[in-house]
Amino acid sequence: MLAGLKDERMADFSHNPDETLFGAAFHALPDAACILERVAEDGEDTGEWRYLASNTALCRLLGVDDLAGQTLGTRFPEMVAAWAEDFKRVLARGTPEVLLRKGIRSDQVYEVVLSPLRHGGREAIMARVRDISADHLARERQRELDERYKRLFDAIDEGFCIIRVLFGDDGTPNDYEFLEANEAFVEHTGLRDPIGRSMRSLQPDIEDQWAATYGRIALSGEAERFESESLAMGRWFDVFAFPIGDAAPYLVGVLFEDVRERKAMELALRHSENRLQSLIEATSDLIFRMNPEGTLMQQLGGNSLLGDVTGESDWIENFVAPADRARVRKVVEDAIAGHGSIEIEHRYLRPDGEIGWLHSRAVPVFDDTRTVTEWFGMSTDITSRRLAERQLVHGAQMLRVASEIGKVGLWDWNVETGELIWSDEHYRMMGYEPGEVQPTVDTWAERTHPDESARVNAAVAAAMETGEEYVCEYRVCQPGGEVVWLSARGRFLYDEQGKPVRMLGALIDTTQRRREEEWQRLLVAELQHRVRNLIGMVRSVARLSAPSHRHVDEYVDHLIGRLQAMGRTQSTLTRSPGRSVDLAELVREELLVHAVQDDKCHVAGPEVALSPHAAEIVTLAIHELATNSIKYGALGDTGYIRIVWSREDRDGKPWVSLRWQETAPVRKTKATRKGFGRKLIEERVPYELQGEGRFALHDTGVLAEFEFPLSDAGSILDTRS
Amino acid sequence: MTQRPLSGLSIVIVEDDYYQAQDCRLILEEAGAQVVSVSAKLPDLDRLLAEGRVDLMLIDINLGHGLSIDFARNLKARGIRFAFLTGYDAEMLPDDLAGSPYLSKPVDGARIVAALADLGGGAL
Repeated sequence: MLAGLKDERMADFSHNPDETLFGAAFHALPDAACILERVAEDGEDTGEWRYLASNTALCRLLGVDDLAGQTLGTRFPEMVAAWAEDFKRVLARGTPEVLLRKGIRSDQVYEVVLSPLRHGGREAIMARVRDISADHLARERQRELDERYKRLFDAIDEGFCIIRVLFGDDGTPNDYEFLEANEAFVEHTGLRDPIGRSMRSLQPDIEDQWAATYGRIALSGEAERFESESLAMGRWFDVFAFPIGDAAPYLVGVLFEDVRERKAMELALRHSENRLQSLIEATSDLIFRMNPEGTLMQQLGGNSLLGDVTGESDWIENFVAPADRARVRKVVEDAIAGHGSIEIEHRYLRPDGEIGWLHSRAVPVFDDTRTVTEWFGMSTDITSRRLAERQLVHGAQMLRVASEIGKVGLWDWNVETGELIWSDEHYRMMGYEPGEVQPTVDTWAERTHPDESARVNAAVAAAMETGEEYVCEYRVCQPGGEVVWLSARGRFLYDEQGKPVRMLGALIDTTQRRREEEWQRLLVAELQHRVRNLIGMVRSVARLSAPSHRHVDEYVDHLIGRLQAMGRTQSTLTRSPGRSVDLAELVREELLVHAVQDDKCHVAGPEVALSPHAAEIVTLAIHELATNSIKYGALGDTGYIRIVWSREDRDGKPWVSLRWQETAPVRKTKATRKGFGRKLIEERVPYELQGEGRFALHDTGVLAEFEFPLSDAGSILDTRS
Repeated sequence: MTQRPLSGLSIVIVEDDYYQAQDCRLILEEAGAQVVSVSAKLPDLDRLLAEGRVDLMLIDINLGHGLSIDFARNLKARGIRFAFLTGYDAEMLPDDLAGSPYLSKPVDGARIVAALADLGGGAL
């Protein structure tokens, strides 16, 4: 516009700015403006710029007079470097530029618009300068506010977004677009990068209700608070949505929270509360609360054991049986003092006037400062249990006494758990002190005689299988080595499925009975044996006695004498069964039977114990010798008999050696045949006693000697057939 | 005794009672038997057989200090015929010997002879 002005005219124009319409307009501009051109010398660029024109506003801004004709370097040397590059660039590009600059001499902020001017081959720059310091400051403040708002936005835990509701052609809201969202948005929704996208593009199956609600707010401008579930997102939301903007349709700010977990907890809590309530209603116990002092009680539910009681009451005074009040009070006071729980069994007054038993428990409820605010508890009626327990104690006592007096061992075996209970007597029968061990099937099996185990186990298995009574008599080895016989009877108990669960039984000690039975059996056998044996012997003795006697009377005398001698031995033996016979005693008795005077005989010898068998033979031998002597020898006359014996060792075995020596003036007869007595000494002693015997008839009388080994003393049962 | 039913038979007596052993010997000898041994204790069988033929044995079951059951089993195993003589009941015999000839005391001579004659009848 000014490019075509000539230098002189430029000068004129600068001197007379009002001369032209353009000049007037230039000066009238509210913004500061100037036109500058490059200063060239001889066609070379000097880097200097000259003002072609400056308007009034510029002169006012810079505080100078008209600048036309003056150079930038001379007036504002610091500006050359600040602007030269910009001027050149704008000229080179040929398009205007808007620059924002701070004042070099002040804090002011200026908007500078540089426009290239071309006119008649000349190039110039028009600079328009506007002080925008106030605007700039305001924008700067706004930016800071925005920044702070954004930080706050991202700092909150709740999700926050600003949406624009999208309406369909028919005016109904059907979707919404996210304009802004904070960082927590993703966490609460699971939706990523929402900015600029619509809800349906992020979650195509989102329920219509959401767009409808936000649409309503966008149109009405009224904020809403609600809680709602989105099945599509699988979340529960607690939402506060409010309108943003000046007019409908408003933008909508949505502040929300995913409350899925809280909802789940609420649901669980409700279930739990319902269950608790059901429990309280269903329980046979009385549920109650008490004041912190434990004096006043209020029934909360459950069984109205105490009758129809409403409100709080002094329960100890009203319901506890007088005899138990002091004890109950003590327990309550102790629990309060110790901050512990209460647990007590006590008698109470039942609504029907009877005395019953209660089992009461209560726990303290504390506040933050550990102060008891109340007690919560329950009471159970245990009257029948107490009764049953008492009967059980009586029953158990009776059983214990009965089993101890009757010497009965009892057991109770829990087949499923293996637990085994023994009565005291059972322990003793097994050779244990009562309670010495924890009884198990193994403890029992250990003491069972090894030969019996298989049979006993088979009997137990059979009883378990068939349900029939278990009956078994078996031996037990006690630790001292004693073997006892036990007779067991028991029975299995079964559950509904027929599975054996328990076995109960009793044991008695049959050792003594069996011993007696055995003894009796042996005695009978022995008696039978002896009688038969004796008859056999009598028969043999009778036959063997016969040849030595010519007269029947004599024969009978002899036979009777021998049978009597045998009878004496038998009576000695049965009188002291199981004992040996003393030789001296035997000899003296035999002499006594034959009425031998003490002055006619000499009996001497050490103490010797004879077995019953040897005693029988020695008795008969002495009898024969004495009979013979009375009839023919020393005893029939003025003779004298020495009977002496001694003990000696032969090859380490004890022997007894007995000598019968008669001294008589003259013999009446001279027997040469081998008589009964002689045979006895010479043959029977070697045969039966494995000894030796000699019989000699001298002029002065008989000399009989026999010796034999002493075997162990036999018993009544030491038999010979 | 006119009859001699045990003629030619060699018999061993094991009986611990002297009188009964002698009695048996007399009875068997009268019946024609040759009694080769009378003893109160179990004899050494091998030596007995080495000394001569043994056709039959009459054995007391209880020999005072022991039973003759094992001895009888040995006889049975070696095919030597025998008869038991005892004051006890036959019930006390073990099962494997329960079928053996058996004479219960007191027994008269005729029965002993008859029993041994039965056994001897099957002899060679």
